[in-house]
Amino acid sequence: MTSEMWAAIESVPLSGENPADSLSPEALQALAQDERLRATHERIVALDHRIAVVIHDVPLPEGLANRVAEAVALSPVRGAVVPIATASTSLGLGEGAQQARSRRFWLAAGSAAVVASIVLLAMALTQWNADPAWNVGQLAEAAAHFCLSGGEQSGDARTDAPPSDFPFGRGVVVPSVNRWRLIGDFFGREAVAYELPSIGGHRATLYVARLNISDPLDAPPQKPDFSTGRCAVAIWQRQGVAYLLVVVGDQPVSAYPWFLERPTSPLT
Amino acid sequence: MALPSQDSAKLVDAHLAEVYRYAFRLSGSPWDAEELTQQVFLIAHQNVDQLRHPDSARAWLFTILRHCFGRNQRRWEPQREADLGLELDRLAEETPDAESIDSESLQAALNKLSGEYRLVVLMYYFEQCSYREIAEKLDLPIGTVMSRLARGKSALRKLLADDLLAIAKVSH
Repeated sequence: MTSEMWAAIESVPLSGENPADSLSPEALQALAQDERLRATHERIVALDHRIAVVIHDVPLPEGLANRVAEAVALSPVRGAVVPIATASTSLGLGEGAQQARSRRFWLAAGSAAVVASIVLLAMALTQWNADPAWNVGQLAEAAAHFCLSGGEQSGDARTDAPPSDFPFGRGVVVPSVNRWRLIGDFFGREAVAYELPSIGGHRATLYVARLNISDPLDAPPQKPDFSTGRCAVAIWQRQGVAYLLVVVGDQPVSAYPWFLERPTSPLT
Repeated sequence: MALPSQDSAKLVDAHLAEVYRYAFRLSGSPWDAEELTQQVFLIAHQNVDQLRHPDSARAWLFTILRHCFGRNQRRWEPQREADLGLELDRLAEETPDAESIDSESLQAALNKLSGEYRLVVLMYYFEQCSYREIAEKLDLPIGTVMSRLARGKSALRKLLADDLLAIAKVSH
């Protein structure tokens, strides 16, 4: 028996009712002629079916469902589905009226498309050098991947005065010693990463960058904008400076508020 | 018709266990499996409008999982050549008894398979894909998949057999 023929035997799908049905006549003949090979093949088939059962024997971690549901609930949906009603079905127009209406519609649509193209072209020319605006959810997700892939560890930590263009964010716990790193490429921009003190086994980093974010909050949100099992990210922007607070640990969503300054009650 | 976004929660309810188990077998660690599982459901949530038929949700989520796993592996580590030989004469001695396999020994062997072999082997055992389906889903030639599957299964058997042998030596 050749290796190719054996590869074909090994590739017989497990889901078939009778595996022999999937074997080529040559393979069946080869197995029929060699008793030892046939016995081994039967053992392999039995092992395959055993593995296919045992492979699903994996205990689920406690609280997994809640953590995943929480992360999904915090994540924005890209592209909402909007049902569209057609004019002819909703208005019940006659055929002639529909045709006249259709011509007018296409004339209007054509004109609108030309105008829209001109406007878009003008916008593109004026915005040629402008930064694209980041969506909060997408930026938070990208930042989580950046941190989990070790991007935050790049560069040496420093303790001297950080660049004034990247001020520490208000509302975040202030470390006793400012340890910061300069990151040359943080989503295409320079950034400063401030190390926050570890709390409850969780570490946190505050990224400060001149990024353009669409519709940001101007203070740390009460809950992270994005989270995975190991990482939670919150984003806000103040005076043109973007802040990304990234918490890494076992319970990042629960730990996130520990890194925020508690609001002080007004003096009475 | 696309599913409304609120059905993301139903996706989690219906498929969380299977996705996590598959992620665990792929990654070999509960931490990484949870990370992968979260990634899968977040991507599914953000693209739930792409899911046209609820019946295909399982396959769709598994596709996202394989993609996430591949993306997280910066590069496939090479498989030891010694594990990959397809020696027909030694098949019998390198095939452990089915009853001797348990969840832990299976994972220990899977962990020693390189990512590209592990993926094909898991698509075969976990998803119960045919080699044609594997070829289609991974966009690989059928011959490549058959060869990779045969070598991957053979390597898995050797690793399982070695593990059992090591346990037997220790117990004696």
